Amino acid sequence: MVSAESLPDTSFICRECNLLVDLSRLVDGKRAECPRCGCVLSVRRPRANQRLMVFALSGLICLAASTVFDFIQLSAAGMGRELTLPQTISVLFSLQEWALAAFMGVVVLGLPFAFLIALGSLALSLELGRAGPFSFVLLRFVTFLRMWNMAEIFFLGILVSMVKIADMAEVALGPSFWFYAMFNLFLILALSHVDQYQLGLGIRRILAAQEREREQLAQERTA
Amino acid sequence: MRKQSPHHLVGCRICALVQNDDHDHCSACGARLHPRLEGNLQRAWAFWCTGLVFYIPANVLPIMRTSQVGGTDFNTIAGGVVVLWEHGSYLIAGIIFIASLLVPLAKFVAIAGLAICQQHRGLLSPAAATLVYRLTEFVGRWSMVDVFVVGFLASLIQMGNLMSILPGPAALAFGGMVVFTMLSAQSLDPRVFWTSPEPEHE
Ligand SMILES: [Zn+2]
Ligand SMILES: [Zn+2]
Repeated sequence: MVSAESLPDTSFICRECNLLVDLSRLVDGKRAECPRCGCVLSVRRPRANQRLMVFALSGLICLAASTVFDFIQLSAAGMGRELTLPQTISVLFSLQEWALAAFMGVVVLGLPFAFLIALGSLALSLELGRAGPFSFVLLRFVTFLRMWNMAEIFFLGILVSMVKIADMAEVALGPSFWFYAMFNLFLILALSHVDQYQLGLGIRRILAAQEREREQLAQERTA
Repeated sequence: MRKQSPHHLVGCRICALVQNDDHDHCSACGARLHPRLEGNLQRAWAFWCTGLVFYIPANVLPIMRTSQVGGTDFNTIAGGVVVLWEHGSYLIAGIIFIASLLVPLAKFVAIAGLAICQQHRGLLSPAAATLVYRLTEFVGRWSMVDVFVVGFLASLIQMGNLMSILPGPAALAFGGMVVFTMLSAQSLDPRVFWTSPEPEHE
């Protein structure tokens, strides 16, 4: 029977088939696949934390910008109507569609903001070589939000909506639409760079180094 | 009892640390460990049934209410696909047909099949079951597209008597159905397919 203490910190258990593998030979730019079930275990990207920071920050800027300007303009039979992104949600509130409005608010704006902030700050702290209990909280948060992210599906929904109304009204896209599109691009890039194993290992290694430093200090003091 | 993995180790789902499976929480990050390999079948079936309960009103009731000068139209999901098809928007009709009608149905069948496979091993090969599981996990969220279409159109098309769109009760039912089938799929554990039903002795 293997004991966990005798294993290197690069050990990993496949989350789909429970196979124990050692990823110590995984080098930059390569990906590791499970030898048994074939799922991707980890992808090691060069400067992954820096990339994550760039994607998260760019995504946040685009998302923030997408709330400011006109999102879409509509004209039909001499009537015009323009909406910002937050208005697409507040109109639903004023129609007393509470549940739908709350759901859209969370999925379209709330969840992506929270996800990118958590991911960006986690990547920043790892890049600076800092970690603590907060790192694991951030990682849990990132894991949870990633599971429920639906921003790109909302974007598909907008495209479908526009086709649906194309023959009843004239539609013009505002700057916010393009900011939201760019936010989606950065979000997809960021999501594709989130690697549970690499992030977890990064945090654990920093914490282990801190632990060693503390022990050394304690030894020097007693000596 | 087949509660332990063959190597008596468990990997944390959050921080990926490999550790002995004799405690409930990860020794590094404190997240709950899942050393038991039965998956959470009861939970999966409970969410599955709840999803099915939502599925019926989602398809029977109108998802969208369109008021125009001529009167008010009620559209069900299937009705919306037919309208799109008649307008010649074949691509969008196809997307909505797949995302709103085909995928939810396929998902119910797939999750039920996987849950049965977790109880009776050997019905599907491990590789096949894992493939179905991955597809189910990947595809689930995309069904939500129709809910977003309705929400977006309702906020956009508010032009008084000329034309206004309101969400119908099916929109929420459909959203609930998607969320519950997602929860159901998350309660399954693909690791079960790969371990032998007999416990391994040291
Ligand atoms: Zn595997
Ligand atoms: Zn952990």
